[in-house]
This record gives sequence, C-alpha cells and structure tokens, in this order.
Amino acid sequence: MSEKVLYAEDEFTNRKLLEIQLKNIGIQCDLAGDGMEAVRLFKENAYDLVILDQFMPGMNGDEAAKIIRSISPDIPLIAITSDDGEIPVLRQAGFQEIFIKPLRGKDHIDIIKKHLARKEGKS
Amino acid sequence: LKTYEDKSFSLRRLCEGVLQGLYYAGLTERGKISYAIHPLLEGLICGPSIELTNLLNLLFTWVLTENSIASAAVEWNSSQSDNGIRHLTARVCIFPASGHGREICPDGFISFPSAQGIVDKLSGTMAVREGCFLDITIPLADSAPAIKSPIEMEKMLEDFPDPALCRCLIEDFFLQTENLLESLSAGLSSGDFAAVHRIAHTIKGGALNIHAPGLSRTAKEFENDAKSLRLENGTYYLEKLRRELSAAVEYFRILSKKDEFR
Repeated sequence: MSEKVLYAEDEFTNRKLLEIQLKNIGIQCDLAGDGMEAVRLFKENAYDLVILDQFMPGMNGDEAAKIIRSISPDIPLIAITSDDGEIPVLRQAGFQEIFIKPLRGKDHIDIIKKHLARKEGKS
Repeated sequence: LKTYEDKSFSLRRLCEGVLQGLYYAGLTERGKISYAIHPLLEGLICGPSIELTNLLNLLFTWVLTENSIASAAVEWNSSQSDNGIRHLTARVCIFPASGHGREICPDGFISFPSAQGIVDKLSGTMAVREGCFLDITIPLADSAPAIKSPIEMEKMLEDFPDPALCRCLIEDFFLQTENLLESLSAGLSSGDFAAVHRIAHTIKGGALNIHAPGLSRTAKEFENDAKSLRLENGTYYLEKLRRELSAAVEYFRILSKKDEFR
C-alpha cells in the first residue's frame, strides 16, 4: 500500500504543485485548505506524514501541528513558510522539517521521501 | 529598445499609463483602454516591429479621434540623465474641440513609468481645463535596467518543463488571484488588516511560484504594510496588483498562441 500524506495549504498553486510532485512518486496526498480542515482530516484518516503551511486562514500551521502532535506524537511533521523568522515558532510547535517557500527543485521531495522511509522502517 | 520583451513591456506599460491618465482625465472610457491595448500588444509581439515613436503617435491619434479632440502635437526628444540612462521624451499637447481658449496647464509634467503619477497629476485637472500637455519620459532599454516581463517563462519552464503543467498552474493562478483581489478590496473597505495581510501573502506566494516578479513584489509590499497595520496606500497597491495581473494575463494570452503552449 502506498504512503499517504496530508497537505494543508491555502494557496492554490502551492497545493497543486506539491500534490503533483507527490503523485509522481507514487505518494497519495489529501489536501486541506486551512488548519482546521487539516485537523479534521487528520482525525478522520490515517496518514504517514503531515505537511502544513504556516500562514493559513482560521488556524495557522503551528496551531494545527500542536493538535496533531497531541493526537499522534510520532507523526513526521513538515512546515512550509515564506518567512524564516517563523522558524523558532515552528520548531517549538514540533515540526521536524521546515521548507522555505517558494519550493524549487527536488530537495523537498527527497526530504519527504526520507521521512516516509524512516517511518516505514519503524512500523 | 533592443529585445523583444523589453520592447513589448515597456511599451505596454507606457500605453497603459497614458491611457489610464486619459481615462481619469475624462478623455476616454475605461472599456476602450483595453480595446486599444490588446491590438497594440498583439501587433508588437506577433507582428513586425514598430518604431516606438510611430506607435505612440498611433496611440495618441486613436485617443484623440475617439474623443473628437481637435488637435494634438507631439514633440520627440532624447536626453541623457546624470546616471547615464538615456531617455526618450515626448511632450504631447492636447486641445479639446470645444472651441474654447487653449490653456496649457503649467504643472503638466509627468514622469513615466509612474501611471499613478499620471493619474495624480491629471485627476481633477484636465477635465476642468481647456487643454493640457503630458511630458512623458521613457528610459531606453539599451541603457536602462531591463524591465522584466510579467511572467518569467524561461524560469517557469526550468522549474516545470511540462508546458501543460505550466499552463495549468498559471491559468489557475490567474483565476484564483482575480477572486482574491475581490476579497482584498472587501477587506480594504472594512479595514480588516488580518484579511488584507493574509490575502496579500497568498498572492505573493502564488506569484513567486509562477515567476511573476512584479506581482509578487507588490503583494509583498502590501503584505508588509498590512502586517504593520498600515493601509493608507491600500488602494494604490490594489490598483497596482490589478494592473499587474491584467498585464500578466495579457502576456500569457499572447504567449499561449505560440505552438509550445498549445
């Protein structure tokens, strides 16, 4: 069975981009438009990794991460932000990785794959 | 004006600024502005090259004919500023056909590419006076820093070599941004700093993804202002974003006619 990722992002082109990139490497991806939807989807489904944009309407990524982390302490969490000043807040919220937008190249995909492989190894 | 892109987009901005100034001055209608710009742009990009002065003469002739203006005079000069950038300057004197006296406004100086400057200078001036002139200064691309295209397609194709994906992302961005600009306008009207901040941030992110430097820069400035709880320049930024989006849409529409994007 393929890995499943939850990705929350309010900006359409970012959402589409990462979704396509993940699908291209055989990773299933559920999309959420904001933090609250991400938390709801996380409660309803099983995911191997969660990617959260920081700045979203309703609930920011760091707030959503804290809720998700409280439900599932081991889930790999990746933050996306365009503001590197947010890094301390994001680290404190429990993100293992922080991607700075815009996402170019393939480095971020390699990092996602690395975390998924690590999780696979544990289970 | 050496290169294809520099030529088309410095001219596009010029045309847009002049027409917008004339619209605000009550000399043309908003709908006619795009009516004038589209064929001009198409001619510039798809057709044979055209001399800058000829293009502007055509543009002014169109505006004047549309508005039954009796006469206009265009004087062309080139000049060089202290920093070595060469400029082409045009002084356009416009006289209405009403037969009243011809008064030249003493404060008619306008420096391009500030379309907002044109609007500020002319708004409330030309409509009530009998005549006016515009002084337009155009930095020439062979000496001035290159003006970037609304979307840097080369970089876009480097990131996404599949033209279909490129097209899909860009078109979705246009659709999304049009809606976001409506929400931005509503947020601005109600003084909602948080909404303006968030929407400007979203536009900035999308514009960076599709390599639209002008849009992302303006959205970033707007975002920073809203973050600092300053919205006094909000209308200016909103209009600038609208103009930049419209330039990007137009650019891509014309580009899409080329085989590699079909």
